[in-house]
Amino acid sequence: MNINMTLIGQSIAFMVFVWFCMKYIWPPIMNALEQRKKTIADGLAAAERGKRERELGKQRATEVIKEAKGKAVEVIASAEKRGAEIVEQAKTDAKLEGERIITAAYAEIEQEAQRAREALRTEVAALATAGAEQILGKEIDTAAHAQMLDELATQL
Amino acid sequence: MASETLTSTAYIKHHLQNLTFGVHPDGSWGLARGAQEAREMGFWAIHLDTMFWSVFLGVVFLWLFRKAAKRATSDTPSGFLNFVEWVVEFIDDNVRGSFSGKNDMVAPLALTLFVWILLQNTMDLVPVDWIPLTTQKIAALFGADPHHVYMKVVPTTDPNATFGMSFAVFGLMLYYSLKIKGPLGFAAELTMQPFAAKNPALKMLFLPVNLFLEGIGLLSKPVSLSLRLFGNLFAGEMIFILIALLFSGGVILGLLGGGHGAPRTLRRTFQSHLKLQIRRKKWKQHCSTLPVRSCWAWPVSVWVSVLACWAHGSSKALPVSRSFCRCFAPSSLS
Repeated sequence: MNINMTLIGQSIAFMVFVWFCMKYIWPPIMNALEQRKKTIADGLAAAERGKRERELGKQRATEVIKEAKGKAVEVIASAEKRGAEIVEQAKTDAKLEGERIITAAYAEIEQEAQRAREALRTEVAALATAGAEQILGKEIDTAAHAQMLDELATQL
Repeated sequence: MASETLTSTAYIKHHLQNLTFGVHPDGSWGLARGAQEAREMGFWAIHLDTMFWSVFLGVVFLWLFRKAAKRATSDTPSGFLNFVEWVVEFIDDNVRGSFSGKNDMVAPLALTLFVWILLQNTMDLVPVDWIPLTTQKIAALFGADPHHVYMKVVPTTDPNATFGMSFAVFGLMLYYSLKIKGPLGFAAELTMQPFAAKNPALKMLFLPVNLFLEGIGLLSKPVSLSLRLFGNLFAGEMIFILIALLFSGGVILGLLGGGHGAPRTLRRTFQSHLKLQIRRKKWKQHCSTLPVRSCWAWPVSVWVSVLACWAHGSSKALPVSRSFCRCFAPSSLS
C-alpha cells in the first residue's frame, strides 16, 4: 500500500479514459437520445394535432349537416307553399278564363241573335213588300217607299 | 504449492501485496519480492497489477460503450445499446441533479468514473484466489518463485488508483475553476468567504481565516473521496480474504469462498471413487465441526455474503462519482 508512480499512471489513464469518453462515446449516444426524444415529441404533437383536426372536422361536419337539414326543411316548406300558391293561382285563372269564355259566348249569342233579327227584319220587309205588291197588284217604288219601309222595319 | 505451509497472516499479507516494479535500493530495476522490498523502492515504483487491471477494465468499458455509440440511432434501440442508453441516461439525470452548469466534460467524466469504478469493484466478485493462483502457476512455468508473485485484482483496493482518480478530478476542477472564474475570481472565492466584510481592514483580517477554512474544504474533497472509495473496497476485499480462509476445507466451499486450499482438494477430487467416498466421510466430519451443520447452507450463505459485499462495494460507485461531480457544483463553478 505504498504511494508511488502508480498514482500518476492512474491519473493519466483516467484522463485518457475521460477524454475518450467525452470525444467518442458521450456525444453520439446523447445525440441519438436527443434525436429520439425529438422524434417522439414530434410524433406526439402530430398525433395531438391530428386529433384536434379530426375533432374540428367532426364539428364542422355536424354543423354542415345541421345547416343542410335546416335548409332542406326550408326548401320543402317553401316548395309546399309555392305549390299551394300555384294551385290557387291556377284555380283563379281557370275561374277567370271560364267566366271570360262564358261572357264571350253570351256576346256571340247576342251578336248572332242580333244578326238573325236583322236578317229577319230584312226578310220581313221583303215579305211585306212582296205581299203589298201582290195585294196592290203593282210594283211599289222601292225607292219612293224606302223611308216608310225602313220605319216599318224598325217597328218590327 | 505453498498454500499448505502458509499461515493465515502470511496468506492475508500475500493477498494485500501489489506486484511492484521499480528501482531496487542498489540501483537495479526489477520486481519487488516482498512487502519489504516494495517499501524500499519508494516512489519510483509502479504497481503492475493495479495498472494492468484498471487499464484493462477501462479499455473494456470504452470498447463496449464505443461499440454501442457507433450503433446509436434514434430508432428503437435493442439489446446492449438499450442497456448503454439506460446507463447514460441514468448518469445524465444524476449529473443534471447535482451540477446545473453547462460543461461538456462533467457528464462524460461522471460516466467514466461510474462505470470504471463499478467494473473495478466488480473484480471483487472473482473469487480471491482464482487469478492470483493462475498467475502464480504461469509465473512458475517461467521459473519464477510463485511465492513472490503477487497479484491484486481489485484496483480500487489500491489507494494509488483512488487517489489517482481523485487527483485527476481535482486537477480538472482547479483548471475549470480558473478558466471560468479567472485567477482573481478563484482567489476571491478562497479568501472572501465565508467571513465577508465591507471594511478593507476587516477584509484583510478575515483573509487568512477564510483561506484556511476554504483551503481545508478544497483539499479535503479529493482526499476524503478517494479514501472513502479505497476504505470501502479494502474492507470488502478483506472480508473476501477472510471468507476464503474460513472455507479452506472443501472443494465446493473452497471454490465459492475463494479456494485457499483449492489445489489440494482438487487433486483429491480426481482420485478414485473409493477415496472420494472416504473423503466425503471426512468432509461430513469436517462439516459437523462447523457452526452450521448443513453442508448446503454454507455455499448459500457464502454467496449471500459475497453478493452483499459486492453490492456494498458497488453501491459506492454512484455516491463517489456523484460526489466527484459535486466538486463541480455551482458553489465552486458559479
